Amino acid sequence: MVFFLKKSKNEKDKEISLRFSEEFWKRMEEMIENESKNTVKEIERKVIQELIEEEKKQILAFRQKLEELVKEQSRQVLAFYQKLEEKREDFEQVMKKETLEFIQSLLKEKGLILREIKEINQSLIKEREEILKEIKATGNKIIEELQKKVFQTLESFSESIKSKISETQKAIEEYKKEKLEEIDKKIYRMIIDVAKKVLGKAIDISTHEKLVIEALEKAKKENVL
Amino acid sequence: MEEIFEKISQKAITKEDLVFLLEQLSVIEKEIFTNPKNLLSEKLKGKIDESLRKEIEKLEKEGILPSTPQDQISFFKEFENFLFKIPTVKLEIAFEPSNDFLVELDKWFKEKVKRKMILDIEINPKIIGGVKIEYQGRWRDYSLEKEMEKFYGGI
Repeated sequence: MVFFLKKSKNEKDKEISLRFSEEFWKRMEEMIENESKNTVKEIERKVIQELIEEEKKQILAFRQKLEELVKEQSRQVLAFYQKLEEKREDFEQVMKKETLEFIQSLLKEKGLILREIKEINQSLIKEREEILKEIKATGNKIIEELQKKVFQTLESFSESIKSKISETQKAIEEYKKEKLEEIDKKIYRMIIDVAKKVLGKAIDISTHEKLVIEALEKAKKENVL
Repeated sequence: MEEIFEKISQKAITKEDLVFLLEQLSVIEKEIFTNPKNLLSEKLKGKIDESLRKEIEKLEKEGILPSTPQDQISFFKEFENFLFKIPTVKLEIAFEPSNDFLVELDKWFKEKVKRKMILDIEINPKIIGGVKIEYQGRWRDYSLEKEMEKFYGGI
């Protein structure tokens, strides 16, 4: 800054050229840069501060409006609850009234039903007595018929038993006869066997030979050979 | 030739005799081709029944038995066929027959039936006595057992 002032003062007289070192320029640039940065930061800070202030004002206003709105809503809800409560009380009274009326009608019905049940019971008792009488009468008849049938069956049984006894007696007689015949046959068989043995032993060889030759002669005559 | 065969086979009376003779023939047929210079009767010494060997020796002497082995084979084959043609009669009797009785029976068949028979003897004491005969599909019971059955059956 000093340099420019000097320069401009000297220009009126004669122009003087000054030479500045590179380091001077560098420092100069750094100084300007720092200065400008600080200035920008300051401006930013002020802008932000102003914005925050503005936002605060807006939030406050919004909050006040919201509170008013909530108060209004609460008033409306309260009014709605009051109406609802009134309606509930009305409905409860109506329900109570109708329930009472229904109970009364039920009691009336119950009395009627009880009366009907009693009547039905009485008629059932009567019918049961009549049925019992009929069953007794029918049972007696069945018993009488059964007795008759049992007697008849017993009589027929005794006849069939008698005939079966006589049949069995006949069968026994026949069996006895058959068995006796069998025994007779067995006795004859035993006699034959004994006779065979006795006779077989009694015959001597010459007689055997003679019998064979005689038999062969007979076979020749009968054209067996 | 049949007379010669009859003569050789006259000792074959029963079925067992016939079987024995056929076995002897198979031995003879085997010996025919051994030592062709020797006589067959010589070769058969001690190998077959002596009576049969003597019969063969006799046939050699009489010139009836052929001399070549091939002809001898034919001769004995013919003899075999003759034996197979002899009819068999089955006799069921109650006792063990003696050889004499068997010879007697053989003789009886030759005389009465006019032919040689091979006797198939079965011993059954149950028939008591007599004989049951079976011959060429015919059967007849001439036993005492049958007579007794008839007798007791009539009671």
